[in-house]
Amino acid sequence: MDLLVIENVVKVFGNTNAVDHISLRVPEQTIFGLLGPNGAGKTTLIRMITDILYQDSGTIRLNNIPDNSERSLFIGYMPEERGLYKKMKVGEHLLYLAQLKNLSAKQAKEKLQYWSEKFAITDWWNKQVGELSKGMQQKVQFIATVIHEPKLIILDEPFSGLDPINTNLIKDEIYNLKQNGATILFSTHRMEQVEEICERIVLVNKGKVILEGGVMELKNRFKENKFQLVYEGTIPQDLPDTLPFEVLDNSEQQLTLHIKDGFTANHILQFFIDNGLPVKAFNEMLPSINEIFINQVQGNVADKQ
Amino acid sequence: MRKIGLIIQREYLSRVKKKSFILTTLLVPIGFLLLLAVQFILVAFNSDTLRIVVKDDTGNFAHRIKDTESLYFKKSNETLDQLKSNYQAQGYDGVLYIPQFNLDNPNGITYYSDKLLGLSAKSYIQSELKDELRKLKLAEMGVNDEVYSRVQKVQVSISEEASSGSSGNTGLATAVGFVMGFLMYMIIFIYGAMVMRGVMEEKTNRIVEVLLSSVRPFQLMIGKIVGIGAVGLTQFFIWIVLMFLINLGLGLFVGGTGGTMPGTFGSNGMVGGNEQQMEQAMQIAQSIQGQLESLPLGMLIVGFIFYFLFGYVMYAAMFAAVGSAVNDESETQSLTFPVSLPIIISIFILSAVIESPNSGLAFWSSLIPLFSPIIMPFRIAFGVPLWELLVSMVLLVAGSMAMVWLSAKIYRTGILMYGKKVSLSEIARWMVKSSA
Repeated sequence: MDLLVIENVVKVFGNTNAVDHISLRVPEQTIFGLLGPNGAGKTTLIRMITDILYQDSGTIRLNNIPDNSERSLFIGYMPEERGLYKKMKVGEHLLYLAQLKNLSAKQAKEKLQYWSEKFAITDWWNKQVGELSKGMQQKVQFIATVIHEPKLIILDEPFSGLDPINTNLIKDEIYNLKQNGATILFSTHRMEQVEEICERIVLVNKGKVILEGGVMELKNRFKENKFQLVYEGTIPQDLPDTLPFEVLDNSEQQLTLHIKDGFTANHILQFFIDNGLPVKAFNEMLPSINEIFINQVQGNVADKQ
Repeated sequence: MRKIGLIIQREYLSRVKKKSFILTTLLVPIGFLLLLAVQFILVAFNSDTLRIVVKDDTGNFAHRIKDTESLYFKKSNETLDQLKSNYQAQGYDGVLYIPQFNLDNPNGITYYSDKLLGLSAKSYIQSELKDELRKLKLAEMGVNDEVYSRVQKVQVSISEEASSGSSGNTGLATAVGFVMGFLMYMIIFIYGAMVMRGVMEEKTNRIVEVLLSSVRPFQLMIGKIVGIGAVGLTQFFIWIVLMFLINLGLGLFVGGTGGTMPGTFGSNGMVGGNEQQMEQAMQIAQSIQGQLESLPLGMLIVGFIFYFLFGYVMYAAMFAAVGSAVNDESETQSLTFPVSLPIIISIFILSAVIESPNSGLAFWSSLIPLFSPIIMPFRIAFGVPLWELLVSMVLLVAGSMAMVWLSAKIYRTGILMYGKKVSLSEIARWMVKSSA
């Protein structure tokens, strides 16, 4: 079941097509990565999803919400460029933002109780926001994003400025929220986080979708049949041409191999067994999302030129 | 609507709870009180009395010069030379010598002292002597004192009766009208700038995107304008109440001391002049009060509040638009200029209208919404035909709504624009076609 359905959405600013016929489906209860270089149109797309901007054409739909209700009430959005009123007290501030999401003061207080204990900010309740550290402000911001139990949570670079401990805290919370039924749209440049957290990704460049799929699926789609092998002993200098692989790199008894067409991993192992060379480790080298990202974005540029 | 309510509440409370708000709200009336007190003290308790010994060779004047608050006269029979040499030893500041002279040609009146007499003291003595001299001259011609003082009491003052029913005192109406116009100018600037800074704060703070994922830009803008307007009204209200209390307290104070005056100081001849002076001061105060009542006070207050509300909304919307279009404080100057210009022009018009409150300029500028908030309250002080007032009000309401609508278009585009310095022509384009 898809929670968010985007169909043929277009947004033009002046002469630039910020978003150029993007269609996208975000399945319910997934962590979905929205990737793309700077100026790809991610923020514009997010702003249209959150109803901050209107699309010029196309439709954006959130399923499973009551008809005729404001879409934005079911979305929690933490923008990349985020801030709070520095002069307001933490408690008042959270209460205000929660009430703007249509929670009653009473509901909001109950929920804030839960979250502030969870994030250990209860002591800060009466402090001014400006007195908090950046990481602490980020926690406050995160609470404000999820306080109304949104169906769709949009996080734009949620970990920037956080120390490793708080990063883990937020990361765990993202998993929790997903377990509890939320769908997370996660926008970032940090590719290692994408691989770690996201199940599916979409890659956007110049307002267009250039790639979409599950993380493992994409890695497999773009793999180059490379393997890494660690061995003992010495490999004979003059290897025959009939080998099932070619050596790309050989250093400190670690080989990087490329399997020739028509062969499998087993053929490689067979070669080492036949030659009496002990294999200590053997694994397939899948491309990182980072490599796929760079290749695709640069390829995209090359195509155009 | 609930969201606008929440925004208004936040904008209002976050400002009203500020220390600076509480301070200025309390300090302004206290400053006003101090100013009054200082004036009162200067008038009532000026203890720096000049003691003058009078050597009057004619014998007609010395006893006639009345003491005042700051002047004390003592007749002496010693010779002039004696006095000149020992007036200081006797505790006087100077010697006033009135020689024998011809009534037609009073020459030789001299004041001996090491200090100058001062302008007001000199003119006082001159007028007292002149008055006495006149009496003497008239007596010579067969007019007695009683006739003279009856002639003296004849006074002429022109009172005006405007045809629309508001009887007015031109001087006071001008003063009140100008104060109101100027006050309006200050208020629109102060609170307009507050709106602009508020919008800018949200933009540079980057909280605006978080807010816009919950509320519409229009709600955010209107909430801020109304919230800050409410802060202004609260401040007025507190000021009016405090001024009223101060006025009341002052009345009691003046009345109280006035009553005890004879008991405490009455026996002391030197301070005796105070009573008279006090009476004068009270008379002036009473006459001002009386004159104030001649103004259409209720109309003025209602008119002022009405023109404040809609004038403020109109200009605040423009200031909000400016705040949304800039990235930082330094960029505001070039953009606030076109917004401030009409207000500044209004003040120029006001000073021209003071000269001729019934001119065509006054009429037209009090109808044009950009100027009417400053010009019309001034005109109300003089009395305005009802239809003119109503037309002006309707136009102002329409004008402020139109300005809010235009500003909202600028606001919702500008508030999400970062980094780029925006030109006026670009803003004009946003008004025509908004990209949001």
